[in-house]
Amino acid sequence: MQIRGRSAMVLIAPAALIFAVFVIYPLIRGVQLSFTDAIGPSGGNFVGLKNYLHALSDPTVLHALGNTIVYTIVVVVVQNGLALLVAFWLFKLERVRNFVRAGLLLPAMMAFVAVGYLWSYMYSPLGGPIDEVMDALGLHALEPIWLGDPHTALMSIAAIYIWMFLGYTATIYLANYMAIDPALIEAANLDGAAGWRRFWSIDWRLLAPSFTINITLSVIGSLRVFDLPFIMTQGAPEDATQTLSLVIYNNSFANYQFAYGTTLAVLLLILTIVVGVTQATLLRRREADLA
Amino acid sequence: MRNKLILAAAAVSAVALALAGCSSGGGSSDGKVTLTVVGFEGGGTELADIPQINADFHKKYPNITVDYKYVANGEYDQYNNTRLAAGTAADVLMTNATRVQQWQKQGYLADLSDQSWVKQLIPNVAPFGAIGGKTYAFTQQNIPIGLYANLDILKKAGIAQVPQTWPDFLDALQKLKAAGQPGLLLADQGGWTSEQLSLALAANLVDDKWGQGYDEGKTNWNPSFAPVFDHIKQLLTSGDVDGKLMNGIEPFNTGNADFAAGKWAFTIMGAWELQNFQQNAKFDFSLNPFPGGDAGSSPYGVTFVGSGWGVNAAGQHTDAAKKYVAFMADPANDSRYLAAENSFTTLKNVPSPTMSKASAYVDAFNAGHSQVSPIEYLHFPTYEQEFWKVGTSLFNDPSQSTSTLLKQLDQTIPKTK
Repeated sequence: MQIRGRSAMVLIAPAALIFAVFVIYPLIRGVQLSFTDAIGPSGGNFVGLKNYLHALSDPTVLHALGNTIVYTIVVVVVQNGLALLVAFWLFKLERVRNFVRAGLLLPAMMAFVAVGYLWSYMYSPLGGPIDEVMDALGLHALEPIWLGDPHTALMSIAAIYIWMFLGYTATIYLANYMAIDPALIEAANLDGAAGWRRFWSIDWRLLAPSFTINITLSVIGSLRVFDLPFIMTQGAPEDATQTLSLVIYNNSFANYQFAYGTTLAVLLLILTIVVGVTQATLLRRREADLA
Repeated sequence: MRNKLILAAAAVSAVALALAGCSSGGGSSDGKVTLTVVGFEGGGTELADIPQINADFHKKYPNITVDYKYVANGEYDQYNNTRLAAGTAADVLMTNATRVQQWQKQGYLADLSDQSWVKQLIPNVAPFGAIGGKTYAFTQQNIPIGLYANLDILKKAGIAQVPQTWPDFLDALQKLKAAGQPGLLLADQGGWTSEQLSLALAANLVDDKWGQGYDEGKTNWNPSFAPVFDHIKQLLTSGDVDGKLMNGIEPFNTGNADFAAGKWAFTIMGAWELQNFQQNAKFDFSLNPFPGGDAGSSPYGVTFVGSGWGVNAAGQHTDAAKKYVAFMADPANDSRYLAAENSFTTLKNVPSPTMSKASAYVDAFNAGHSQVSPIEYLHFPTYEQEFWKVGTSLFNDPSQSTSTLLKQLDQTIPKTK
C-alpha cells in the first residue's frame, strides 16, 4: 500500500516538526552566532568572517585538528582491523560465540566517567596494573608514563576508545558474517580456499556492507572525540590530547567565547560532513563494484 | 475529520495554557514564594551544610520555600548559560570569580552594593565579587591550598618539624631520600598541581600586587615568575621529584588516595581534603603554608577564592533572593558553611573556623602571611588551561629556558579587561 499526497504529509509532519525545531533551527542559530562576537548563547554584534579567519590561524585549533586527525586514523584502522579478527574468530567458534558476544558489548555500555577513572588507575605509574604486569615481565625499562608523556598520551586514550568499541564493531561484522550463505563458505572450503586466502577473496568482499557502516560510525565518532580527554587529561600534557571538541567546549563553556566556540563547531560539522559523505560514497561504490 | 482536528488542537491549547499558568513564577496570591537556587555545592559529595542552612532559612522566612538544585561543577556552565539567555535561570546563582565577570558582562547579575554584608567583606577578597566599583556577589569561600605533611614519615627520617623555608624543604627531601623514605608527591596529570605549586611558591617569592597589576599591564609572567620556575627546576633536576612520572599521576583520586595510604611524606592539595585525610589516614599529618622563602623567612600560604552567591537580575523574586544571600552572609550561617568547607573567612565579622590539622596555616593567615591566589585576579577566562600546558611542559622537560616558558604564558594569557 502506498501513502500519497496529504496523508503522507500529515504522517511526516510530526517528525519533520521535531527535526526542524531540534536540529535545523539550532543549526541555523549556531551559524548565525558564529558571525558575531557573542560571549553567551545569544546577543553579540555582527563581525563577519572574523571568527573563521581567527580559527584558521589559531595554533591551539590547528594543533587540536592535527591530534584529531591522527587519533581518527589510528582508531578507525586499529579498531576495524582488530574487530575483523575478532569477528572472524567468533564466526569459527560457534560454541563460545553467544557467550563472548555479550561480554564484548560490555565496555561500550559503561559510562565515560567510569571508564575515565578506571583507566586513570590502569595507566597509573603508582601501582597501576599495566605497569605491574610489565614489571613482572621484566619490561620496566619500556614503561612510558602513559598519560603524562606527550608522546604516548593521545595513543593511550585512543587505546581506551578502541577497547570500549572493539566489541561493538566486531558484533556488526559478526552479524554480517552470519548473514553469509553457508553454501558459499562451504564451496570455498571445498575449492581449497582457507585462512587468509578465503578471507581476502570471499569474506572481505561479502563483508562490504558492515565495513561501510563500521568505518562511517568510527570516523564520525572519532572526529568528535571529547569525553575521555576532558575527563582524564584536560588536553594535557602540554597540548598532546587537545582535540577539536575539547577546544570547542573550552571556548564555549570555560572561556565564555560562545561565538568562537560555535564557529569551531560549525567547522567541525563541515569537516565531519565532508569526510563522512566522501567515504560513505566511496564505500558504497566499492560495495556496488564487489557485488 | 476536520471537527476532530479542531477539537484536538483546542485540547492541546488548553493544556498548554494550563501548564503556562502553573509555571508562572512560583509565587501565589497568599504571598508564598518558591525561591529557586542553583549551586555546584550542596549536593553530591560536597554538602557544605547547605541543606541544613536552607531548612533554617525556611524557618526564618516561612513564606519562602527554597527549591535548591545541585549541579556538578563540570556541568554548571552548560546548565546555567542557556537558562540565563532564555530568562529561565534560578533566582539565586552560586558563583565564582570567573562566572561573576562573565555573567555581569551580559547583564545577568543584580547589583548587590546596598547589602549590609558588603561592608564586611575582607578587602583582598572583595574584588572577586565586584566590577566597576559595584558588588554583584557575596564571595563566601577562601580555601587554603598548601603542603600536607605526613608527620610519621618525617619522624622516621629524623625530621623534627615541617620545613619552614625553601632550604629547609630541600634539606628535608634529601634526608627522606637518605633514610629510604618517600618524598614529595606532585600528582600533575592535567596540570593542576604544577599550577598550585607555582602559586604556592609565588606567595613566597612574587610581589603580592602582581595579580592585580597583570590586566592593567603593570606586571608580566616574565620575569616576575622566574624565581618560581627556577625553584621548581631545582626540585625536578635534583632527583627529588620525577616530573614526567608526576605528569602521569591523577591528583584528586589516585594522588589523594596514595597520600592517605601513607605512601608519601608531602603533597600539595587544598583544605577540602582535610576531612578525607582525617577519616582515612592512619598517621599524624598537618596542612601547612608552603615553605618557599629564603632562610630565616616565614612561610606564606596561598588561598583559592572559590564559591559565592549572586542574584539573577531577571529573576522573579529578587527581594527573596537578596534575603537568601544575606542569610548566607549572616555570621552564624557563614560560620557553619566555612567549618563544613574548611575555608577561611571572607567577612571581617566572622572568624575563620578552627582547623586542628591546619593550625600552622590558620596562624599564618591570621598573621597576614597568606595571599589570594594571584592568578585569580586575571580576567582571561581560560588562564588555568593555558598555565597547565606550560606547567606540564616544565615538568616534562625542566631543561627548557625559564624565560621562554614565561613568555609563552604572557602570549597565551592576554591582558583582559
